[in-house]
Amino acid sequence: MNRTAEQWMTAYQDGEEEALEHLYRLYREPLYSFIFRYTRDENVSVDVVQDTFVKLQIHKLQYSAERGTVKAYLFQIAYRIMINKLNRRKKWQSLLPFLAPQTTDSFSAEDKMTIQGAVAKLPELHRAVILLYYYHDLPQTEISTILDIPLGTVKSRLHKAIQKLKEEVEVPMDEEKSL
Amino acid sequence: MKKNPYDPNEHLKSKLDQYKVDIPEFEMKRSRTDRWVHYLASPTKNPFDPLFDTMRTWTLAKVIPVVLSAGVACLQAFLM
Repeated sequence: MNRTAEQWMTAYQDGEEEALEHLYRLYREPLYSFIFRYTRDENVSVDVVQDTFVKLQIHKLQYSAERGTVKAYLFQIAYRIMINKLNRRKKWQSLLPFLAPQTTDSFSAEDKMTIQGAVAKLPELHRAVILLYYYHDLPQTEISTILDIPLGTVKSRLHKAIQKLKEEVEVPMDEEKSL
Repeated sequence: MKKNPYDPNEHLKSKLDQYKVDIPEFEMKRSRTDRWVHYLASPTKNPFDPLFDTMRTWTLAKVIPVVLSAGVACLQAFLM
């Protein structure tokens, strides 16, 4: 049955339980790849995707098609869960550094040369914008809703993120040319 | 039409395209026990790492327990 995500969501709100499974199959991969590119942590990414769908089940009636797409709604939930998780982890790290799971803050030499390294080195606020815009093809208005920031801020962060990525990615190329 | 700032930046675009993510298989729900097990199994930072940064601190970390136990042994012998 070919339905749009919004139609599946409406069906789920109307009590069609299997519609949730369709939504999960539709957005499991985009949500996971967004969280993974942001955190580079497989466990956190899986947890966030699962928590997102738990939250969707609890707050399913809060969604309204007039307020935006299901995709933006799910990304918004996932982003908030991820930020809360990361903040909680930072607190744990400062209080009990030996109990908090290790993060991948350090970069290998190979990493520095790759786009993965360049994206991970971006400040968190810039990283979210570029990931949502480039990899998930979300319009800037929806990005502003997901991140809960003004549209102008999205535009400026996107511009700065592109500049920073260009600097990071261009350097190895220049070095290659000079060799 | 959506304005795309990447058009003049084909090199950056091609680099961004190279960033692929392997997505593992996982269910929509995971039990709390499974989460706890994953948490326990995740690697953590060794609190003694800063101690082993230099050769000198590494040597001290090895010598101090030996000196302390020798000291305690001497003290016990002296008290007997």
